Amino acid sequence: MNLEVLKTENLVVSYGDKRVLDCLNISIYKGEFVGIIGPNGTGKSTLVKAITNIIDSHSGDIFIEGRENRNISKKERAKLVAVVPQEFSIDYEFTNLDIVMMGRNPHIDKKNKIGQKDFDIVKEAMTLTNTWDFKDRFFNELSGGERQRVIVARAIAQQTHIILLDEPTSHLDIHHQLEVMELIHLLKKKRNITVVAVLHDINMAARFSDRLILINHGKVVADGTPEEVIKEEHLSKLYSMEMIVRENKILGKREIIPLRAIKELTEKKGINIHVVCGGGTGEKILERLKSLGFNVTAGIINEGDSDWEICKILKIPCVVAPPFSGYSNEDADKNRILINQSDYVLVTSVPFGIGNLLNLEVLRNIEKPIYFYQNSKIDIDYAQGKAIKLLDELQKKENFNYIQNYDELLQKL
Amino acid sequence: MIKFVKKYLIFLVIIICLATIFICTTIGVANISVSQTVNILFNKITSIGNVEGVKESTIAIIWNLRFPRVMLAFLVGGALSICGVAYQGIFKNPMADPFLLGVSSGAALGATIAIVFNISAIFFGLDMITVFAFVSALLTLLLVYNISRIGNKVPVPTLLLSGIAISQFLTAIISLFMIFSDQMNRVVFWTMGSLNAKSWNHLILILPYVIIGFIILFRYHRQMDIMLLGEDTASQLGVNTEKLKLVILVVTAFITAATVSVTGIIGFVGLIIPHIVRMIVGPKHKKLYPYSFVLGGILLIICDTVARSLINQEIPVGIITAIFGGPFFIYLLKKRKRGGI
Repeated sequence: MNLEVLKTENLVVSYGDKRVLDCLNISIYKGEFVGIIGPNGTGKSTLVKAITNIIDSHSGDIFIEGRENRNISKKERAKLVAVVPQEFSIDYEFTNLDIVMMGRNPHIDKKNKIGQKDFDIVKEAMTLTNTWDFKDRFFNELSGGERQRVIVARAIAQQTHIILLDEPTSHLDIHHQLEVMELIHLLKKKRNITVVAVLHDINMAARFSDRLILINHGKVVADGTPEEVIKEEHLSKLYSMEMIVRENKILGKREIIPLRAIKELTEKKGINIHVVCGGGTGEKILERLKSLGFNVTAGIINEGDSDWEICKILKIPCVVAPPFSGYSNEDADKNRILINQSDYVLVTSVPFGIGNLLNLEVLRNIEKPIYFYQNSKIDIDYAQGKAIKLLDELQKKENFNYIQNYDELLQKL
Repeated sequence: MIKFVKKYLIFLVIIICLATIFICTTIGVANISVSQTVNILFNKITSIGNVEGVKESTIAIIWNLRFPRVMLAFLVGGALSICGVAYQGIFKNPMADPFLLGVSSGAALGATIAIVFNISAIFFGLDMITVFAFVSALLTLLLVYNISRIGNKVPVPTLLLSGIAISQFLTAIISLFMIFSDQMNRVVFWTMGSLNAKSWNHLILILPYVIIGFIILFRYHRQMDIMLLGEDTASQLGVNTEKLKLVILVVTAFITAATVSVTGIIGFVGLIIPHIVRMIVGPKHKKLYPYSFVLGGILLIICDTVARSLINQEIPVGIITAIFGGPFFIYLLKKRKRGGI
């Protein structure tokens, strides 16, 4: 079993009457990268303050490397835990070397002198974080990302086993956010440092953390691998928004796509609509219809198509054909059943080739209102004119309508 | 030029300091030349050289009147400046000066009581005004500190506010005393601050406080630097912030109480010198303390020389420092709007 380096036991911290941490129990093991996530005001930053003893806990215990926190002096604690805070600006003209050298403070002995050893450690920390080049420049001349790297260097110079990050990237642009997180991740790997990071960006947390702890109202809601924690049932209620949780195939990580925090009126409850889509043309409208309260069905879609994935995530019933193959008659029948159950049919701007021509053909005998999304930028016919011919025929039907955009459609329904 | 000044700053400052001491000891009503002054001082300090032929009265004027006064000015100016440095650091407040927490009004109340009730006993060679001022200043700081304490912590904002409140309260009491007393003039003159009629005794009285105080303050120079990053960060970097605050408050309390009780309230030195020095040597306390001490000393020597020789009547030096200090401070503020001040 791994060594437990940080632990809270029934930790309670309150501001006045308000309990910010309410019987919080977490354990952090050596060498882990633990992300702490949760909505604003749930006590994430308070946890960092409690661990570094800036605020007193009401009850419960904190153990750092097995020692009870309140028995550790500030100097000793600064040898065990380093903190990279949220934002860091100072009004004084300290050079970056000065700032990083401050990380040596807990190690300075009674002689009160900075030695060659301290200097070497600082140099190494600054080289590692790529900040040695501007050691003589003033800290407040640097950009946000550079500053944060200097602060990370200071944390390294403290030579602790644990680094706490308190929303270290919240004021940075996306490039610098990534840069700082990658740097910390690298350090963790190189030096086997235990990292506990309070993060507000769930995707960033899922990407870099070995383990995630989801906190709400000062309590642990979920604790586990990113796959175990990043789930809609955990997150959507907590953050009170609609979201999609999916695999990011490029990074091989869980990610969320926040959809909306303010709910649209779900006035369309009970209306059935069938969507003919494919090749990602349905992504945009499928979710929107679903959230408006429509009973959405779709088909026919090939397995592996990105529309198929959306349907899977949104739990939309659809007719699925095997990957990279044409549709069988059986599929067509199933599709016809779904269409007959629905009140409306929507055709997205999907191109038609030999493979999916059946999706168009099926509409010939349908008497339900059909809405066809017209997108002049896309060539829809890849079936040697057959699709155009079918479309010409369909146009003549009374129940066939062209639409130019989805808002128009939603108004009509 | 700037590079050159920075490189040899320490020598430059020492030369200016010595020159100021010699020149200001020479300036005065009795006409004495610089060479005579140097000669007398050199002889008195090292017992080498020849002062035969120099009038006994001249030697007395230099050695017993002007030189101790100049040295006292140096000591007091330096002491107030390092206390200003410490306060500005610990409070992270550019407007902090050594009198921020009411040490001046505390001392003034003590002095007022001694003056109004005409307590004139001599205590170890010191008049009662000095003794009362010293004790009252210390008691005031003790009061302010205890009012601000919440559990085992002393939050800086609370400290500032209770300092201001107590200050105002004590000033009101002083005013009350003055209204019902015929000694108003003496009280007013005392509060304006003056180095008039001070002797070696006074110098020796405050010397230990200043020397020991300086040594202790200097020991904590690194923690003071870190304190400038904010109390929370300092704490996370291993600084025992509560202990540091207590040490700084106690040490500065003794230094300022000692100097104020001897000279009265001399304002502005402790406020502007730290700012000027910070512009020259940067924010690190390792340099701030010694340079502030020397420059503060030089400034007060010059101000005191102006105070006693500008017109026939002596002007309280506190007025001179404020008259020069105020506009100069505004000039600095205008010149450098970005951080540091």
